[in-house]
Amino acid sequence: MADYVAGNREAFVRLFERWGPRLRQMFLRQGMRADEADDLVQQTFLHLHRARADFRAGSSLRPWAYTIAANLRRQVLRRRGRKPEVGLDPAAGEPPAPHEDPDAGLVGAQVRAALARLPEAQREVIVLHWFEGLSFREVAVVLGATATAVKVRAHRGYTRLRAELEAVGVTAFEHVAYGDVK
Amino acid sequence: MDCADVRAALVRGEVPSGPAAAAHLSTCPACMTLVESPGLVRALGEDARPPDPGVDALLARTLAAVADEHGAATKMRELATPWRFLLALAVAVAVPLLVLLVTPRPDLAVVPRGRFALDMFLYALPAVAALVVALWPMQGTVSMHTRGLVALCGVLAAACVAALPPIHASHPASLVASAEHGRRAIACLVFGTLSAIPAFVVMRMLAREGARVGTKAFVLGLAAALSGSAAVFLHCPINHPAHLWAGHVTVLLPAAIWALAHGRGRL
Repeated sequence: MADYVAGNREAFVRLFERWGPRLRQMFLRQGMRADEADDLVQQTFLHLHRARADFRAGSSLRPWAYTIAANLRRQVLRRRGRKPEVGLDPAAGEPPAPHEDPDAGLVGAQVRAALARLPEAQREVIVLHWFEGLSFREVAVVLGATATAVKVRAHRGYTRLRAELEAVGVTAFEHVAYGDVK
Repeated sequence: MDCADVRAALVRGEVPSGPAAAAHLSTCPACMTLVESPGLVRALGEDARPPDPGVDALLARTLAAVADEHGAATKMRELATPWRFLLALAVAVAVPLLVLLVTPRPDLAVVPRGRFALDMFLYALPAVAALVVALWPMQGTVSMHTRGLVALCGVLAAACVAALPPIHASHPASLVASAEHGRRAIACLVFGTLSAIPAFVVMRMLAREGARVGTKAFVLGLAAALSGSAAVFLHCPINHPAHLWAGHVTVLLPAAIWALAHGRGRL
């Protein structure tokens, strides 16, 4: 980012190549449609471009990018006035039943579907903490909440996610797979 | 050991152990839930695939959008945030100051200094707060509650100025016949709204995300409207409460109408 602020246009392409795919996947995991995810990635980088004069050399781009992304996503949700849609994007769709397709990607699909059923406040914390690898303190900064509140949301979210996955039989599937391996 | 260490250990497939881990887990229910749920951790790991790198078309679209960013408004919103704030503040102060210098209220000499300062403070404080919130950059987060609180304070401050006892009753310019109240109130509403326009235009140019959300749009409009209200206060000598409510407080209404229409996507 410091290179881009200094006027190196190529640095923007490098930034996009590094963060664009990651942000796109994050939006999809948070229940956005593929076209919405693309728009949000574009808007995130447009805002990074507009805000480049605020960037201080030596600081990290990561909290910036995630905060802008979270704020833009919230605006989209507020504007469309309903919960994130699921099932329209193949990557976020309903998983097949375990007995129909016991392939390696099955559990991942069930995780995405279970994530989509979580309340918005819990889902965004889990996506940022587990999948994006942000600390709870960083998640708190990105979401404009306290670290304590974020930890409570994470605790509730992980507990509910565990219950959701148990309910759709992920645990049973794992037991079968473990027995097969042995 | 902290939450990041616990997550890193779980991602590596290890279970955090030792006194430091036990001490942390006893105080962190979120980490404890993960440690106690190896099945959940494995399932989450199944979905941790690398992102799809095929975003060339999206990159091209984004580069085109960035290349489209030109013109005076673009230059203004790309200024560093402290400069954007100072520029907006300068315009918001300049209009009332100009009114004070060019067409000051005729009773200015008899207005008690303390009360004058109090009324100006009631306009200035929420206006500055609204300005800061409206121009806050996207890489920072201002909650809806904060925006709502600032908006409420702005409206209450303008209402307070109207609700306070009349500044004085010792100047003929402040006395208006009842039949004149309606006409004079409309004149003040128009004067205040026109005075708010320069600050509004500049702030819209300086706001990076174009204030697409209703409350954000209202806070932006409110800052400009308070600048307009201050200009009316510095111009109009009428102290009657009915006039203040009908002609001065109503300067906030165009901001509210604009925000409402904007929030619903009609503008």
